[in-house]
Amino acid sequence: MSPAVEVFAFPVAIAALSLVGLTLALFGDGLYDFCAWLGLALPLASVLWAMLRALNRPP
Amino acid sequence: MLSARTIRRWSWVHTWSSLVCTVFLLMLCLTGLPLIFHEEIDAALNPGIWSPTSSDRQVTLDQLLVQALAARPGEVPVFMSFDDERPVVNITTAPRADAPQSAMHFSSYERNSGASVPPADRGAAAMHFILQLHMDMFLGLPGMLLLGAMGLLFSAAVISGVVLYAPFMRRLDFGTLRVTRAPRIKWLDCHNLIGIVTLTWVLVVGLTGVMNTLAEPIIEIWKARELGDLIAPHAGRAPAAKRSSLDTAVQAAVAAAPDMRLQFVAFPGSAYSTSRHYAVFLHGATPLTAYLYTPVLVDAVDGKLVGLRAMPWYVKALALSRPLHFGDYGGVPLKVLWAGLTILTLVVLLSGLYLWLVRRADGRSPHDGPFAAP
Repeated sequence: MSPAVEVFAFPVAIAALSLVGLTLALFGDGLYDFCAWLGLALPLASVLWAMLRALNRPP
Repeated sequence: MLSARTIRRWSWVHTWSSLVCTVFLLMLCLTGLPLIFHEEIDAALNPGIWSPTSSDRQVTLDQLLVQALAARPGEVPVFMSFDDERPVVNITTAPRADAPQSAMHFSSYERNSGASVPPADRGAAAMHFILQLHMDMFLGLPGMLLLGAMGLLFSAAVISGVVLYAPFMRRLDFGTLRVTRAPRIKWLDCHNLIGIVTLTWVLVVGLTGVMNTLAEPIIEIWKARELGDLIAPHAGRAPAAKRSSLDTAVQAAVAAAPDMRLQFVAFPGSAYSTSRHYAVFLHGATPLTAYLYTPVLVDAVDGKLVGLRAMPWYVKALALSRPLHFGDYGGVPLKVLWAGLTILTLVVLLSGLYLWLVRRADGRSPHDGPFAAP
């Protein structure tokens, strides 16, 4: 993989899925809202994941 | 990868665009947090304040209007709006139809019985203060436009931050937080990670916020162009002194667009109408079109339909930028996520400020260190 692809793979995926989430909730209720929550929870979940990983890793 | 010179240029953009807007963004995030939950806060502070009375009476809109005006002698009607979730009509009155918002009085009535619905005003003053600070810092249009400019600078800071993310993360895995290193390294990692994962959300909320700061000029353009076009054939008619029935006007408007729902009425002389017409605003019935308004003009003297016209793209963009800024279009969980993302944005702002301060104390340029110490 090229360095740029490696650096931006996760960020682009998270950005795209957040955008899908932001848009979906505009188009409907119920399942649309639920998918929107998942998409927008991704940024928060990835920060949580990184924090837990950093704290559990031996120095 | 970027050359050292290009990186320095982007660093300069990132540092200065952020520094100028950070204090405003901190205020916007802190005031935005309670505003996300304003419906829930209003409901919690004013519990059980209204329950529908069972009544067989059927009052007309004209009767409601007479009732509202009797309670406010010397005032004229400005707006009448219709709640979506409950059968309640809200009537805004003021000394003049074009009076500023601060001079307007708001009262609510049951649609069927005409019984007064008590205002949910506990905590309203505090929420209003927060909203005003968030919208224009009590400076009116200049304040709104200043905040809009800060929103544009913030977007420049976010985009330059994305460009700088690549050289910073060259030798690091996604999500690396070097928590055991010096505070500067630790907070740099936090800043980079949180900044990049919140990218889409901050850009959407930031740019829709900028759009909202342009609301007043946008409405003025719409009035001059579209509304002006619609009434051109009827130009030169005197302002409506003696008015025709409001119920007839609303019925005519609803009949003109049967698949739409009634949203609000702007009375003659108010900001959203002309001196001669009732402007009846309808909105769509699907989740997406519910945000999009269509005005129907009805002559306020003879009660005849003048016409309706779909909003131009720039008013539609303004209408859609509201839910996307407020986060109120996907239930309470969406609001909680909105709050979580606002808090993450605060962490990015504060860690950015901290990184700038420690760099300055070191006497180095803000962005030459991390490359040497991966």
